[in-house]
Amino acid sequence: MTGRQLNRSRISRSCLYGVLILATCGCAYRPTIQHPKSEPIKPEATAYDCGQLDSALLKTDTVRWVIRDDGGTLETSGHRAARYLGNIFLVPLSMGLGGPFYANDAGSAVLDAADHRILELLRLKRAHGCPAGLTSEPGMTDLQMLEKLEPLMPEDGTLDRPALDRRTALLDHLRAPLPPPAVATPPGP
Amino acid sequence: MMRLETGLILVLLTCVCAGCASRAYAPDTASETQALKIRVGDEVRVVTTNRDRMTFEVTKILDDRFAGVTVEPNAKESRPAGVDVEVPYDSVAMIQVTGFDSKAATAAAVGGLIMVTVALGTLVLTGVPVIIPP
Repeated sequence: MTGRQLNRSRISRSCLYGVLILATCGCAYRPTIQHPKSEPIKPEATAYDCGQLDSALLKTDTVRWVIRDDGGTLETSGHRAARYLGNIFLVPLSMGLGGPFYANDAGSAVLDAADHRILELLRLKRAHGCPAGLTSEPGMTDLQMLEKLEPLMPEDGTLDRPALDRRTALLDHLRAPLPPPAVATPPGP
Repeated sequence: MMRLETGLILVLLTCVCAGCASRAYAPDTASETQALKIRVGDEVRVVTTNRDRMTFEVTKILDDRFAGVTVEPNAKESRPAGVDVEVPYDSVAMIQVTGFDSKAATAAAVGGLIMVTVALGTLVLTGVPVIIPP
């Protein structure tokens, strides 16, 4: 094998490793049901009473739980930029390997939308003077959690990994411990 | 010109196929769940506010809940196939129609075929693409 052939072989091997590494990004994220992107609060939601707000919170928290349970995580803006850049190379390179393969966002967009919807619902709850609800975070109510979340979820600006991790950890504990399953039951005789 | 026509045909077919794809919904209220117009015979995948996942074929549409029979469970679903379930509308946090009632699916396919035929016919005869209203 000549030196040039050896170099080519090394380059293609490096490309293949690169493709494989990028392709594994987001592998832990496997949606078992299509994840809808939570919509921002509708104008009519501002007229919700406390019960309706709690119900909407419960539903959005469930959507968020499904995304997390399916492996969804938040990505930093730096990670997103790297992913976009990586995909520019990964997609054409993987075409010859049965692709196209690309690194997905690991559910970051849908999870972020759900997080922000929860934040908005909690703000409405506070604005309406609703009673605070229990959470799984020891010694913290949902309205106290809101105060911790607000600095972690600014309207604009980039966030670092520790801030995203803290926000995720808090929201993972938003709901009080679940009662035993009783919602969907087999009908009686 | 031929390439343009082929491109238009592909775009048209893509639009028709995209219209058939099912999507998931996260209804805020029971009335939003009812407004989804789920029919008897549809197969739906549901996550309830109790974090219960299930896929079932709808057998009854009641005033306040769906009744159905579970089908082969998907990943992370615990109920075996053939179990009767009832799901109140206000407990539905996520819902995705994964299989349509066979009559509705056939009607949709026939409708789509007619639309494609008309659009292609017009395109071939006049060279002007027909824009199908949503």
